Amino acid sequence: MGEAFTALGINLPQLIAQIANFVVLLLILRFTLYKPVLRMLDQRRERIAEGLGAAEQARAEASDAQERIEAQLAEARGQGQEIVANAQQVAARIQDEARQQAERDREAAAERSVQEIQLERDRAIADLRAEFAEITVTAAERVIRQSLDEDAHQRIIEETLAESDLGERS
Amino acid sequence: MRRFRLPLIIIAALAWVVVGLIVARGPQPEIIVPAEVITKVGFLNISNTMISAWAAMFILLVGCFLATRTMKLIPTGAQNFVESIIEFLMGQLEDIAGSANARRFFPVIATFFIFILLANWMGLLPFFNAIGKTEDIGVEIFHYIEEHHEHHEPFEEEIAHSSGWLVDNVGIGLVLPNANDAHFEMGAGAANPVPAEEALDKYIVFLAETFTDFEAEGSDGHGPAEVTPEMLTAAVAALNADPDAPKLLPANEKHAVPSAALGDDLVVSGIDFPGQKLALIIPLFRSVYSDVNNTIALALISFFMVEFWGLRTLGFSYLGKFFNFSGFIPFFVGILELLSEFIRIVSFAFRLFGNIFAGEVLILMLTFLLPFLIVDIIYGLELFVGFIQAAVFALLTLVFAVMAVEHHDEEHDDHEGEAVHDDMESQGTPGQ
Repeated sequence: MGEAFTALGINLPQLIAQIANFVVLLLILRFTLYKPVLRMLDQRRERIAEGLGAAEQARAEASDAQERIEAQLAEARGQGQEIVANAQQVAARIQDEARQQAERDREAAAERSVQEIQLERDRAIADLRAEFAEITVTAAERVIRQSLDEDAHQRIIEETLAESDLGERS
Repeated sequence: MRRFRLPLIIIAALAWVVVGLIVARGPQPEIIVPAEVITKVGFLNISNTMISAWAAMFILLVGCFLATRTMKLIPTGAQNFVESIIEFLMGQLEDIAGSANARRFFPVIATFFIFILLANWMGLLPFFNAIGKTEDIGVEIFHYIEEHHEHHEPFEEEIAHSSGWLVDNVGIGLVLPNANDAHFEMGAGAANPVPAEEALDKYIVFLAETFTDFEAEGSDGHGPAEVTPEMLTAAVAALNADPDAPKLLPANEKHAVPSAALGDDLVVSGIDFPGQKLALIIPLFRSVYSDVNNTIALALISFFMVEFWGLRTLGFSYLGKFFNFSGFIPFFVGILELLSEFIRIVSFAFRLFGNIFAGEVLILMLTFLLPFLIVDIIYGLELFVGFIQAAVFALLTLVFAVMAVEHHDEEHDDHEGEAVHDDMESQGTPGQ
């Protein structure tokens, strides 16, 4: 056994030295390599998770806002349509009223013109009658230009006229 | 033209291999299993693997310090690189051990992986096993002979064979191409011990053969089988004639080894090498885990950490796995479990050592046999082996740790892992 140890060069001091070397290396690496690097990796993972969370939140918020805006838009659109519909109704009513008013005006005007025409006609008839009586009187005067006084003449004419259609109609 | 492409490539490759043989063929490498000691500090041998381990540690520490000095949330450059490694390892651990255990095991497992990987890959750097201090084999052989002479011990099996390279007289040496190697054999064996004085004669003849034109009868260049007085006299003459050849120093009060063939006519107190030395170059850097000490150290740490985690998590019930007195068979199984726990140390240590040492020897020998091209393939293979061994060491430690912190039952099998265990638990094993 001892010979094998010599042949392989096993010696205790070097063995212990190597163990010490390794332990020292382990400790130093732990503080200069593993700890900072692992801490950095954890920190980065945290940061990324944070970032992703924030992004997720932002996305959710954005979609929320989008929904809200869309709802508002839909509402506004509905309101607009309502307003337009109202306006159209009002317009139609106004139009209707205007039409009716116009109708009424037109009818009134027509009535008035008929009345006026009637009045005119009546006046014309009256004028005509007066003038005709005068002409008749004048004519009869010329014809009979004698004893008959003017009052008698007038009465006769009146009677004549009353018998005629013209007198009845007035 | 296309028709000639493949033959051309083959011819070029062969030519390249031949160029390598001419230009870069080194002396035959000496495969030494124990890590060579560069210097001693108190009772601690500073071996070349220890120096390499320190170099790897230094690189890791400086690299990590620079990479993590200013950590930023948005990583750049080195920080990116370091983070990707840590994240990869953490991911693997979490897959196997679960999130909570992964955090606990991470520092040890990650250090295993990173350090073994770096050490293995560093071992493939060109200056590993190439630059080193020269160890004077020529003088050392004489010291051995002198020691044996003083204690009147004949040479038995040890130092029956010594090898060295003929290198220039320098302190820090580089293994040079076309350097010659020399092997000295004493021809000793337990059945046929060679007295120290005879060994000296053989050594003198060997030196004369190696450094001068002298040729001995019945010698194959590794030292003659039998040394006659005439042969020895001729050899000494040849050594004295050549100014660059090694010189035998005359006896003084402290050191004196007489020759066997010439008796008191030739007494030597030492050998001086004025020209080239017979020496080995002891590399300053050698792959860290080609040294059993280092792999055993890691295996022990792995073992202690696994037991520590097991005890910490399960308390004394963890020991129930090993000491089960509910019956003869459970008791026996428990003892086997306990044994396997210790056998792991050996398997951990020798798996890593075997792979890395074999890879190193393979590269050294192939570099000696065919310096160019073929070695490149082995380098690629060794990169892979280095990674696999690092991963295997870390993963096995992790798996054992996961097994240790689980609640065990007596039917649990070491080799089937947690899946089986989970199954058993979910089925509610009868008799519990």
